[in-house]
Amino acid sequence: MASNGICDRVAIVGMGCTAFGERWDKGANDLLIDAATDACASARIESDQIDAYWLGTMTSGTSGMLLSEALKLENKPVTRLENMCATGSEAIRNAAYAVASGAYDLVMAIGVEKLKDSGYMGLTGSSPPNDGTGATMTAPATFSLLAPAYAAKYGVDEAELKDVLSRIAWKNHVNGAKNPKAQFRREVPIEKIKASPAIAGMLGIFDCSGVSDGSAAAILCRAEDAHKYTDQPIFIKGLAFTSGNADGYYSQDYDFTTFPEVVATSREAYQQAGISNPRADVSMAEVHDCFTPTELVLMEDMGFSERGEGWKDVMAGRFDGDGPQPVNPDGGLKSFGHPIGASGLRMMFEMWLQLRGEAGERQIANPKLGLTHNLGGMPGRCVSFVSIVGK
Amino acid sequence: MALDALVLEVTENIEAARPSRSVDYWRASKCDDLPYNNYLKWRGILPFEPPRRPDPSRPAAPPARRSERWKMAFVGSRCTACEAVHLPPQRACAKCGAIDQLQSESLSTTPCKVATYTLDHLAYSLQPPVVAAVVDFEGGGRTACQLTDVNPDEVKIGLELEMSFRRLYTAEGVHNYFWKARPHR
Repeated sequence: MASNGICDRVAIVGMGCTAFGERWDKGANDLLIDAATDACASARIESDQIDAYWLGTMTSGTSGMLLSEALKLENKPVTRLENMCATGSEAIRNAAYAVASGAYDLVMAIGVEKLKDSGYMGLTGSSPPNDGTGATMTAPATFSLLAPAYAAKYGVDEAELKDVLSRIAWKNHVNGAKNPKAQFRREVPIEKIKASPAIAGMLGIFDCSGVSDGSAAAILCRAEDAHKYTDQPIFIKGLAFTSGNADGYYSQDYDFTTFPEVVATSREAYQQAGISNPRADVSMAEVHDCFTPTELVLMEDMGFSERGEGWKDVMAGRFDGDGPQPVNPDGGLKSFGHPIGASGLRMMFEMWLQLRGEAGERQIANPKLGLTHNLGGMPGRCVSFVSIVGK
Repeated sequence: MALDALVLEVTENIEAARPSRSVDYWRASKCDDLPYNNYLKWRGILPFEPPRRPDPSRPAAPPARRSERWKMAFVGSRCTACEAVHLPPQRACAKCGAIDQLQSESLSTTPCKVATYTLDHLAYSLQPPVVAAVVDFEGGGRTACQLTDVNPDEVKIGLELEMSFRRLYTAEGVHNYFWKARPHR
């Protein structure tokens, strides 16, 4: 049981990303057109040069025709896919493998989600007809289960943990304030974060990512062709994905202080990329900060922090935009919201900018390797994606 | 006008057939301090503004029929290969992967306790916040469910619970009954 990986065999040669937010003026088709057009311009290609498309969306449409009809594509294969919150990243992974196989020369991975039109608070899902016995916890409630478990296991006072979680939200808003594409572009004082209205457990409204609309796209080709399109391609070093078996949902062994699926996927991606010490070797990461305790636990699951030490690294500023290992330098889900199909590609867009030295006032000094990560589901029962990219 | 009469005679076998919980037991746990407006709300007499979330969907009859013993009797399954308990019952064991080697096991009266919990202010409920918990059972097995008849302030990790068959919600005219947990009586 292993994955061979495609380290340095596939390049990203163009990207586009819309502004995320309450895009009342745009439908899913408009957002797709904007992201695809920007991505093609960035790779200096016409859209008819693209051989095949992978389209990620969870609830904003069905089938590849969501894209082919919007762009009026002529006889192009468009694969529509969904893998919960990793939907956008899965578009990248499947598109990358398609060019690596030689089946296509130039492909697009694109994702979109139009969440605001429903008027609902938070994310909603739709279930097939069922027996009515499913748990009725919302997403913030399930992820809030991490906080008391972490506090108890590592002897962190709950008030102290609240400071840690608030600092994560504060840091991501500081980063997002510098990003013209973010939904929320203001720094938020830490006291305001701590005092925000309760949503679930220890989580206040500022511990939760926003709800927004957005789209992002990437153009991929085999590495040997990359310089036809750009002087500064970025290369895929590792891609890992797992669909969890929900063991933590059934078994009393699971203690809600880790995501075993993330441990497995990050290890696999590091192995593909030849990373032995992620704390030292990963220059920056865009991780799935759906709720603040998630980001804390991810730091330990990905090996950026020792077990039980992540909260100290957060408080020491290790993951700040100007810290030694910036996490969510673009502002994260916290500042962008989480249009599900687009988020993984939005994360990759920040890697694209950072590795090419185009991130403006967010620019990290000379980054070598970047990581993107999504997880979808709930603690104990989730999917996880990890990519490593570099120059 | 016709009349049907039914005469029931109690025999000594009644002792063996008594439910594990008596009428007195249920009477003793009644809650009579419910605010009147909550009563009206619960009875559907007093309208209230729903949260900006989708309404719950009604349960569908075929899947409810397939999972009747789980839904109505809280019957899970135990793996005969590795002893792992599953709620709801599974065909594949989450621990050892064995397929179709699981036996039914009722956990409706098995002692259980809070493994971890949260107060959910966002979830749909006639009585927000929803108190939700991950519940671990003596002898194995775990489920996530709502707590009921509970003061949110008294919930803590390790709180002893028992399962209770309740109406979760009514949607499109269908009352959806399933199990919640409540503090042990």
